[in-house]
Amino acid sequence: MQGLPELTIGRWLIAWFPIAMVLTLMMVFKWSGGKSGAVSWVASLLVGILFFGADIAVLASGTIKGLWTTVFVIYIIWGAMTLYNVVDVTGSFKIIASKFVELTHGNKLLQLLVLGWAFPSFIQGVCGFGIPVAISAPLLISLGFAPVTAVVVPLIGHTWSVTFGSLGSSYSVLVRLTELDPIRLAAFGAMFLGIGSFMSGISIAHYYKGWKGVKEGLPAIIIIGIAMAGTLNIMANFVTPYLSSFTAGIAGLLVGGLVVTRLKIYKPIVCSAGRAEKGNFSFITAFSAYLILIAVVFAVYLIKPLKLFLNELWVLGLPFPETQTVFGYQNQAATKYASINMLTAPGTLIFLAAFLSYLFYRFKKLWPAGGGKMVLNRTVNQVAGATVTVFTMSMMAVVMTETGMTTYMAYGMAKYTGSAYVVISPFIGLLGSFMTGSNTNSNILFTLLQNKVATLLGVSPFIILGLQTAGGAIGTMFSPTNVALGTGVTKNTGREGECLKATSLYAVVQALVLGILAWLMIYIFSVG
Amino acid sequence: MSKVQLQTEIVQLAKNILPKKKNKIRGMYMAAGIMWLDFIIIYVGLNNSNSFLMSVGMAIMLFAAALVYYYM
Repeated sequence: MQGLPELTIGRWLIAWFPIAMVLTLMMVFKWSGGKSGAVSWVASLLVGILFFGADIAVLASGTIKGLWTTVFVIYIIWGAMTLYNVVDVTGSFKIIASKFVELTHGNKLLQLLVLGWAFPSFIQGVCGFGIPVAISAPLLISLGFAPVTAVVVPLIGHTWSVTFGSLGSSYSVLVRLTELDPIRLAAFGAMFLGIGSFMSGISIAHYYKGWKGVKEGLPAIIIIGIAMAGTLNIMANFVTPYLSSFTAGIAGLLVGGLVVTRLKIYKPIVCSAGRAEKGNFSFITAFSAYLILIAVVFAVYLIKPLKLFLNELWVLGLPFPETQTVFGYQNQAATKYASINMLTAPGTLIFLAAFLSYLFYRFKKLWPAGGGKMVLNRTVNQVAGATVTVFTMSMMAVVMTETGMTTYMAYGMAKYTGSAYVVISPFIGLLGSFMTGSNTNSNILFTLLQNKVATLLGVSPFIILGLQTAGGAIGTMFSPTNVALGTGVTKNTGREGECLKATSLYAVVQALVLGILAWLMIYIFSVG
Repeated sequence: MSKVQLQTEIVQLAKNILPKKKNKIRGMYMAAGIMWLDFIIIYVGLNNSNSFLMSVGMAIMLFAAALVYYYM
């Protein structure tokens, strides 16, 4: 506890105040993430001054370090949304979706598994922020599903791919905020999320038809689940974590559409599928933007000399001086704090892919008149809220860290929960994204805390951070923001409570299963 | 509801909603812009151990946070 005040229950509870405030403002008062983050950042400054001996240098340093940390994440968010809009303005998403509608024949459960599980997971791999639900829910409604089912299913289905989705924006927070081996972090995250993938499939089948649905859907769940969880883990461990959800989503779509639909048990009974929208160009053309993205990222990440060369060309980082609180809590000086290899950063590769896709669509004469302006306007409007939310949340989180509050909370949790903390850990991640609507923001809020507690308890920080991000991913299924988005796009506003009731049950069960598994891994099998 | 009535309602709705949304987004970007310009002031103050500059910077950051509060 060097540099920190003596651990007392009163001061420990006060240290929780900024986080409790952000959660209360969002949950009870239904404030937006940015607004709650702004107020809670002010609260963190006050608690820092009054109870943790922070001076102006500590507070100023924490604030702008928090802002700087967001550059990497914001770059990905902006790039992902630009790519999504480049594809969307050409009408390619409708072609991609219609292909899979056609392939699932009239089997309703299969439609839910392919279009409510694999398809939103694929979209999440490229672009999150509620877009998977916004695209899948209306599609399911057009196939004749009940409005609440159409919202609940993609909400449950896409969660496992959130952490490595949007080309790794949530995962990148884990990497940026800790000094742990990024590949090992990815490996444990992918392991828990792979299990989460199976649980999402089972949850969807259970939600639709109870245990009978699980039995009926089991072959499809196993095959699609193996394809998605297997690809996720292979990519995260051996290629690049930033593309693992994206490629896992593609694997799920291909296996779901081309393999599972040919199984005898899923042969069409009655062809009751809604009419799929047909375009005047092929599926491969529609899908080409993502093939370009794969090519760009694979070229940079798999050709090691190229990656090393580009890594050295432009490294963006800022030096920060040492700061210290009145109690003596030190923040070491950094020569390049949270540096970014600009030419190999995921954001750069996504923007490059978006530009190449634009050229391709233009060459194919698919680019609409005024398409550039449309992409820009849509992107600017869509990312504004997420951008400001990430800023304020990150400022609050880093101020709490620089003043020693996070460390203090971690000491308290380690002292008061002991080995039960492992089971609680995914619920902390879940709570973060329930409140903020984002796995990325949950990781910004709780990565440092979870890492610290893991160190203090002497358990693997890789397992605990894997649980944090998996819990954060699961939490997005019952985040009020995402639920409201789903009910909004299906013109079903006012039925958020019904959706929340369904998703919260599956979220809690999934987080509990992961917590217990991790506890067994640590305390029985000594993994980590 | 006739087609003309529907169109009139849509135009009215757009008039009521769009300016608010536009201002909201402008406000959020204004707050974000101020935060990053202020980043420079605080950073210079921090590196020169200039408490006055840091205090001014933090005051501006509070103003930017107030804008976020107002517009979000």
